[in-house]
Amino acid sequence: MRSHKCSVPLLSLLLVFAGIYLFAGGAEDAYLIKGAKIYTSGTQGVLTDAALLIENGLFKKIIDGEEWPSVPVKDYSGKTIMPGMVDAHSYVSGYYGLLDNTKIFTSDLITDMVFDPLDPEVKLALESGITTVNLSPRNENLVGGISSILKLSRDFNNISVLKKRSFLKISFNGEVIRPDRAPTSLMGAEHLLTQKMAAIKPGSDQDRADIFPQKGLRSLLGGNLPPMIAASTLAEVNTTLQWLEKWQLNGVIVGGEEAHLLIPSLKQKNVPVLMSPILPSYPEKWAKNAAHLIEHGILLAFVSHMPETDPWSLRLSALMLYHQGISQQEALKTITLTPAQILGVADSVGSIEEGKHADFVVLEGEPLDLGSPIVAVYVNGRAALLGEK
Amino acid sequence: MHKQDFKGNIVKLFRKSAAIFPFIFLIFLSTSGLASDQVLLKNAKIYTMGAPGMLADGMILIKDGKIEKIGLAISAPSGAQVFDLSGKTIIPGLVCASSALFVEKKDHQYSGEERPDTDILEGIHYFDPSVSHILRHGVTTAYISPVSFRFIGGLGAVVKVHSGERGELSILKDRAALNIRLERLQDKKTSNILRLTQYHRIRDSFKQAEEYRKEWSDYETKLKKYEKEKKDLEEKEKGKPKKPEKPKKDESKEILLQAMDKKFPVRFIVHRPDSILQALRLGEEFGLRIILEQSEDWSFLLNELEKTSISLLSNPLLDYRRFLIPGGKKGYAAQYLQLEEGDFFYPYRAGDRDTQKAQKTWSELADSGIPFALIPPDRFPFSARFMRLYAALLFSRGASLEFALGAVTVNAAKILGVADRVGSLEEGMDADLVVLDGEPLDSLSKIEMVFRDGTVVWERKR
Amino acid sequence: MSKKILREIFHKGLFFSFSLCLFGIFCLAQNPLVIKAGTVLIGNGDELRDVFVVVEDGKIVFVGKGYVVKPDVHVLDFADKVVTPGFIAANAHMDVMRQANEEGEEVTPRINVLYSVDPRAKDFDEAWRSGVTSVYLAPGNLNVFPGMGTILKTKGPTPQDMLVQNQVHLKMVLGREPGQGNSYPSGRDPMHMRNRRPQNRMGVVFIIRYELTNMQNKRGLPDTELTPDELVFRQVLKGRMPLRISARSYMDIKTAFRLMEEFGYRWILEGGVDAYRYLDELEANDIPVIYGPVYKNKNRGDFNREDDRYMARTPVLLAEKGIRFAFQNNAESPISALRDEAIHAVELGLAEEKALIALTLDAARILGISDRLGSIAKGKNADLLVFDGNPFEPSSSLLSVVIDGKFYDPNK
Repeated sequence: MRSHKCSVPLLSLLLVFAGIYLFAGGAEDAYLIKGAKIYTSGTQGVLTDAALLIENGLFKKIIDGEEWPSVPVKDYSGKTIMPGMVDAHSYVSGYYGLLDNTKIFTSDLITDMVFDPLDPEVKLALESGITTVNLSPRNENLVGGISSILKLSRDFNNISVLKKRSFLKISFNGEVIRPDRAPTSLMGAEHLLTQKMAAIKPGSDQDRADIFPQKGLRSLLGGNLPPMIAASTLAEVNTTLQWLEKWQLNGVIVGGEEAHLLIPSLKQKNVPVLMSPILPSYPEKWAKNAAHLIEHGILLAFVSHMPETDPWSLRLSALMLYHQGISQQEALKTITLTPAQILGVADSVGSIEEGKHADFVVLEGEPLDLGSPIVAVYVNGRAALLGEK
Repeated sequence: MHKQDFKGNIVKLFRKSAAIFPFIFLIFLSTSGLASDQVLLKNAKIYTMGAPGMLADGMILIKDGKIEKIGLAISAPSGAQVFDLSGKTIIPGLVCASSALFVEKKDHQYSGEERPDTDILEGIHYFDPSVSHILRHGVTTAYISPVSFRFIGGLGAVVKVHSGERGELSILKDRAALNIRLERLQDKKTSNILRLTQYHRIRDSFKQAEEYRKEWSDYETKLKKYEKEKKDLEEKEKGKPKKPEKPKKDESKEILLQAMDKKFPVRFIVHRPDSILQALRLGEEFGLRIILEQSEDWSFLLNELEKTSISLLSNPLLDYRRFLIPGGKKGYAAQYLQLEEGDFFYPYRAGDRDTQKAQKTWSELADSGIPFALIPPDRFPFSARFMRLYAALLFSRGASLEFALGAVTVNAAKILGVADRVGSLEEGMDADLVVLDGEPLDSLSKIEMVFRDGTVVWERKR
Repeated sequence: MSKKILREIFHKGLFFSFSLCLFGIFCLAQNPLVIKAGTVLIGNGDELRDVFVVVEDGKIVFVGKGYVVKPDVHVLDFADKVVTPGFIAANAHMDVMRQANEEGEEVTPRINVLYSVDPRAKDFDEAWRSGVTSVYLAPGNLNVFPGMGTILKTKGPTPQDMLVQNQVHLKMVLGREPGQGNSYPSGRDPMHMRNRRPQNRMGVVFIIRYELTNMQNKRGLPDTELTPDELVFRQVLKGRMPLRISARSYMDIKTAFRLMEEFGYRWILEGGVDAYRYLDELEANDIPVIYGPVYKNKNRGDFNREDDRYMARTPVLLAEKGIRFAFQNNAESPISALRDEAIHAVELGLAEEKALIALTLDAARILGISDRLGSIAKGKNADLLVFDGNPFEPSSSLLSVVIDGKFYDPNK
């Protein structure tokens, strides 16, 4: 973990706050958050009268009593705290940078290079409470590249990468099928991928083997990199499941608008679904289908595909689940803990628990009430927004 | 294995019949003659949005689909059905100031030749399947209009959100507004030349309408003169004078003239600040009553807008800089919603959208006194159901509760010109109301019941 | 008020209807399913009268008289009805895939059509409602070797549940279709996918000859040294897997014969508009024909020319020669018209028994699944149709469809 003492905040307001912390906290970079109602998303549920001791960017201790250590206190009385949201499929700040159109197999590209902390989209995401993203390659290539899990930050000297190689992005989506190049059909896409995987050897038929040696596909076959497969319709999701079974892989589905039609197979193969957000223009039954998946015990998390949708759509989607009869805490998990579990980073982010990163969002009201504005967002224990109230 | 199937079948069947139940219940309710009976709602917190203000523990008496009485203590007349709504909140039925309801999907896409005399009421899709979904979210009144891609759209109407079995429709106001699109926003790159052409075409139509009026007034003066001459000559028996030629009737020009006579407002669908200014210019030149629709960049021109007497329809979610479809152009949602090329807006580096600044501007709007109502952020029919949610978002951007809730009830009704019937809960108004289990702008509170014209049209399953 | 009473009445009515439905399901889901039928056309041309058909676990376990019905078993009585096997479309043209052609390469023998199939497609619905319970689906005709086909039942939640057999017959397309869209670039990037062979009939034959000669040259190599694609061609050349050759005009059928003499494959003629010109050759080489559509052929449907008269009578001529044949549909006729095709062939002189065999058992034999489907016999899948009369009378209608032992109402 990086040390906060030595980082020099470039942006002026951040400097002021950091200065206050350093002054008040002395050598120890520790402080206490108290007064707020805390939705932990973890095992402790909702804490109404607890304080969070934050030290070195981690939740050092959750204190459920009156014995507070003598550290600076931030009082958020009357406010609510939820964990920082985890967006498991995002193109934030790099919509055009996440696609290499020259080949359909570009499994060597790693997305962490694309992240641009100065992009306004990053600010937008932070303002909406997203603190961790899985930056993914786009859907247009059959094998797009390797996604990376990053902490959102507006400081380009301090980009923290949680996991550099998280998933290999594969797409069976409609976008991969084009009339002017192979594959021109879904069965062709599956066939092409199978062929490629069967015939990965150095100096094989491809003309740019020096640029794309397909390390990603190799580590997929070696079992070091799980696949993240974009699939929406019944045929696409079915193809995904069959393909996973054929290669004996554990994967994740992104999109999954019609995944509810294949609940038995999803459950049997234990495939989590990263679902596209539910927007106001969609009919009611989309939310019902998502709730169905959760009721059948399938791991479901909402993703934003930002900037294809606004980041507020994450909270909106969870709210839709709530209105389908799922409790607020469970609905909140679909945008905090569950995506962290699916991404395999639940030991550091996704919930407010001792030892995890101090990523949290302070709101005026209930976390899923869209009428309650976000007051502050903390990433690694520091206020990430400029204009903090 | 068969036994399992058998069990599954029973479960399925039970579910099916359970799904039918509320529908039959609805039919039962609507046919059981509740509308003619008296209904008393008591012990509820009532946001009347009108003269009575907020009633902490109020009562509403409904008779014949109208609000007979509203107040703190009303004695129940004999035979009245009494709902004890303690712990619940009542707000007026929500008003959607712009929607794509009652328009067939095909008409969205192929809008055909559009002229000012296109009237939505002549091309209405009575059995719109989305209507029941919208109603259950508390939206009881909506402005409907032909979808316009060309410059002058057509006439919209204000209707109750209601689709009867025989396609009956209750119209609150026909010819509620004339829709004009001042800029084409295909692929979100409006060229200046295109925009100017559009502006001048619209201006020309109004000019032609003025000429048309002059032609007719000339004709009428000539006709009077002719009749006078005719009388004189007939008396003197000296032949006949030449009869003046009658100009042709033109319905679309008549409609433009009506708009110029302020019979109904003109809705300008605009996005950019320069287009908003163009709309204001047109309004000044031809004496139009203006409603600005969408107008994402109103905040740049707040001072200008304050000086004029325009009304504003917008949404905090509107932002023409990015597209709002997950999965992109060939994604599932795009195919499901049958989007076309022009519906996609490619995100380029979005301007620095500052939440703090946005909060400031929305509260400034609330203070400015410009009539404001919320509209859905896009033209898909289902977006109309979340009016309460949009109000909650407005509330979170720093507007007062009264302003935010008013933007989907009373102020919307005022802008649409139907405030004498809907939008607030006062004596003599239509009994359109929504019963919630919590605060109206808390998006976690659920809708318990929806009344339209004194009838329960939706009730949450218990 | 009266509301309460009405609600109670409504509740009672609901309960009553619910229990009624429950009873109905109880009757249908009882194990085993016993059908007593007046007439059973078992699919091989024979007709049985007043027999029992007993179905257990989706399979037929008994056909014949003298079944002892247990006292608590409900017998479905179709005394005045006609029961036939479910119809099989030996080649179906259905809109069940978003993209039915994989045009990246000309030779894609291992493409698996199952991945593209959407079980909720409207055409599947139309198929079972018209009595077609199994269909053969293959990739489209825009490649020389588009791939192997798959046989599906027409009802099921996922393609895997509908599957009867995958990878049946390697399809080969003769004629101009594989060359469609391929051309020398005009205003197009010379490296474009479309700038390639074949661009006409001869190019198609060139590619076929290239592939098959390549395999002949590798005759001595063991299986382990071949690519999976080449293994498929080895199966074909060794006669283990028949080629299904889509050939419409006489030129293409002639080419298929010529190539057969050259490479010695087993094959099935699909399409075969001009098959009537080669009746003797087809008979001599024992080549089955999948023919259709018999009518509604927009281009040649008027029967004005003598040729057209021949072509419509092709099923009759094939039957006279004793050549095995089955019906298919194409882009111009819907899958639901399969029975109408047979009816039309009967009107033109085909014997009714032959027409039924072509729709059921012969189709299953051509597809190589006659051990499971195609007739009403012990051990086969319970795919049945119940008609209220002779199935080849246009006036008689389909009452119910049984797929894997489950009843479906085609009129609902």
